[in-house]
Amino acid sequence: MENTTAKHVTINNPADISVIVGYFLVVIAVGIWSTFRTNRGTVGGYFLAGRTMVWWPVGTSLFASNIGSGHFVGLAGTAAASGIAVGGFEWNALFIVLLLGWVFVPVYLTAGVITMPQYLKKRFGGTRISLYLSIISLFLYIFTKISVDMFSGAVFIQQALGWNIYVAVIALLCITALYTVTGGLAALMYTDTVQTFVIIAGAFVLMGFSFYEVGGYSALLEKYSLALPSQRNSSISEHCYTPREDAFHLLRDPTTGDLPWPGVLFGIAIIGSWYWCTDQVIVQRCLAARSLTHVKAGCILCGYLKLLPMFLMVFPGMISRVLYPDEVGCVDSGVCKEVCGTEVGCSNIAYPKLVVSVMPTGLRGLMLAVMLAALMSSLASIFNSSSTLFTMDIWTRIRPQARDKELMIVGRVWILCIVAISICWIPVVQAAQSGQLFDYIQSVTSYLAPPIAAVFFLAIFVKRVNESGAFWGLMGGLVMGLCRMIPEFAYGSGSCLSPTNCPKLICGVHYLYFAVLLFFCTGILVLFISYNTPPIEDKHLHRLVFTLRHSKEERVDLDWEEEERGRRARREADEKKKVVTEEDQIERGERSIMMKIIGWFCGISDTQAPEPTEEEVTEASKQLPDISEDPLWKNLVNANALIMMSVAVYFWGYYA
Amino acid sequence: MGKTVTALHGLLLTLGLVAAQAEKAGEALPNWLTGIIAVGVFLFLIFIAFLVNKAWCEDASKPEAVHNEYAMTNGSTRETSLDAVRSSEDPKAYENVVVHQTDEKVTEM
Repeated sequence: MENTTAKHVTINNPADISVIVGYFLVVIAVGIWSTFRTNRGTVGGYFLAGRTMVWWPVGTSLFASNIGSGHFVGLAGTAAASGIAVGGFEWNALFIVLLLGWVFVPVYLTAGVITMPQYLKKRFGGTRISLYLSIISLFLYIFTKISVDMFSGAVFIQQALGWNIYVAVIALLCITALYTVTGGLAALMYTDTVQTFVIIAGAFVLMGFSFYEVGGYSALLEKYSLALPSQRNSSISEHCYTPREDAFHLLRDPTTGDLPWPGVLFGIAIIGSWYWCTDQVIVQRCLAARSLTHVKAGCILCGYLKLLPMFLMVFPGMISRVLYPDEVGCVDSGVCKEVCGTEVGCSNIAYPKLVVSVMPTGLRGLMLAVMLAALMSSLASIFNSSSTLFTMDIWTRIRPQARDKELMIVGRVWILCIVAISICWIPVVQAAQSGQLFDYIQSVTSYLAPPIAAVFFLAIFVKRVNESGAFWGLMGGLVMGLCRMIPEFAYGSGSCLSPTNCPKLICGVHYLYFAVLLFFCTGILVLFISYNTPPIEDKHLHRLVFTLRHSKEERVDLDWEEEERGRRARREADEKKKVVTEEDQIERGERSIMMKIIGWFCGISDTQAPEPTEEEVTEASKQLPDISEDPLWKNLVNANALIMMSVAVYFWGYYA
Repeated sequence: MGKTVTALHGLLLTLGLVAAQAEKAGEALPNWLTGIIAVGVFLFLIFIAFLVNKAWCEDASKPEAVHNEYAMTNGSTRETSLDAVRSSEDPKAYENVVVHQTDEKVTEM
């Protein structure tokens, strides 16, 4: 096998380079084109693409925001190590994405909110819940999404190009930041369509070549169980390097399996509900859609696309282990250190190894473009959404008198801050046990996300839940999650060769089971406290809960006082500004050309719509966001959803 | 309705035969068969849920629907309700309004 020479092949031939350059040109062109299509100068235009998106950018953007380089590296790596069960994470999402479109988004749309903390603020009143949610969301973004995607991109670039990690990552982040900062959500969603095509096309090509190399699908089934590394010493127990017997089963034994089937069905559903239904990154794309039917159609498109990762990443990961058992399946710590720089294991290099070794010249450039597409689309989405969260939830609390222009600038500056923090986080991720990359994300998410999912479910379906119940439920859930997370990370997650000393009581429960447990405990806590404290009246809940989503009655907003304070502060600022600019204009005349160019680039216009008066505000609140649907399209979309669910169930049954 | 039932019966029979043969041979069910069985069970559950929805929620939703239509016409003055049936060809003419038929069937005695 030609595996020794291909290790650090650099992509330095004209075919590969031209493919990469072509890819960047297309992405930048689409980004620039979309800046002319929507108005980016307003909050609605920048953060929600003016609410004009049709179903296909919604669907592809959902897919591209979700699939990051972490998927290529993590999914393929875990599949190489333990088989196809990790694909259950992807196929579970098919159902959750329907939950998003049919249950959650109608409520978010009628509520008229931009961010998820804003929804909780309207639903419960008070400020502590939304503040907690903003902070923990930003925390989870930095430590689970950004760091993992960047690390995976770095692994790939290191294997494929041989560049210095920092140079590569900084360049990537700068390009991503560039088109995020200028274009806003519209640019992201249109470029995501391009990214999705690139990702799927490239990954299909690689899958084709890999299956050809290994000799076909049935050959993979036979050869996988025979893929043993040749360099192993007798002190290592056999089960550490032998492929699992249930490698081709999605549903595994509940006690001895590495991904037990109740955990796969229910635990992943809970984590998935947090990720798809309550998280800013995903929901923001749905809120940008033109109408509810477009949201639902977009969700169905995303669901169909989510069928693909099993075939595009999981199977190639396993093929990689069959073709290169000594590198991908290495078990001796010395060998592993030589191959990929870490002693724990080298399953993470499964996908990059395939790209470097199996793909012919020219197509390697395409695969690099694919990885860049996945990395940049996810990062850009996360940057945009965290900027939305920071601007709308944290900055407006500090400075309620901030106008559109200031918010736009703050949003963009925050993106630059996040880029800097991410760059500083690279060495930490490098030092962490890279062999456990996918496990690391999923376990951190399992310990912190279920309480949020529980609170959102209860907020939408149970009217009786009130502010104290939700807050103390969240706090209780956080404490419980930290009780598990801190010891586990303190003791270290260990590996097959050197298992961890973490006491069985804490670490013995599988993280997916823990997620289910945490979800139900938080739910019970929330309900218990809510029933013992005064309820929220119906007049505050119109169009904020599922049962009242079609209600046309007037809602007395719980956060009305805070909003009114903000509006008053902005009106006063307007008054002051009028006086100042009148004097200024007489003195200084026109702005300099430089300022004008910067303003155009960032889409910030000088003209600021005046803050609406009190009468205008009450009039505007009477125009309710529309979630009615044309009956023909509604039935068509429902039928399509049913078809998609049947297809998903068939595949689950096939690989169970 | 009769034809679909017969077709369903035929399908179930064939599936049963294949399953029985596979069990006789001592091997696990082929993958595609478990997939199809899973889809069958799933569609059956959806069908049950649909029936339950029709039986329980139908009564509650009917009077609500009528109520909503009244609520939609803002203010419900005579002019606006006439506006709803104004003809598009001539501003002075009005469309023929079809009286909403209920689903009640009167059987001849």
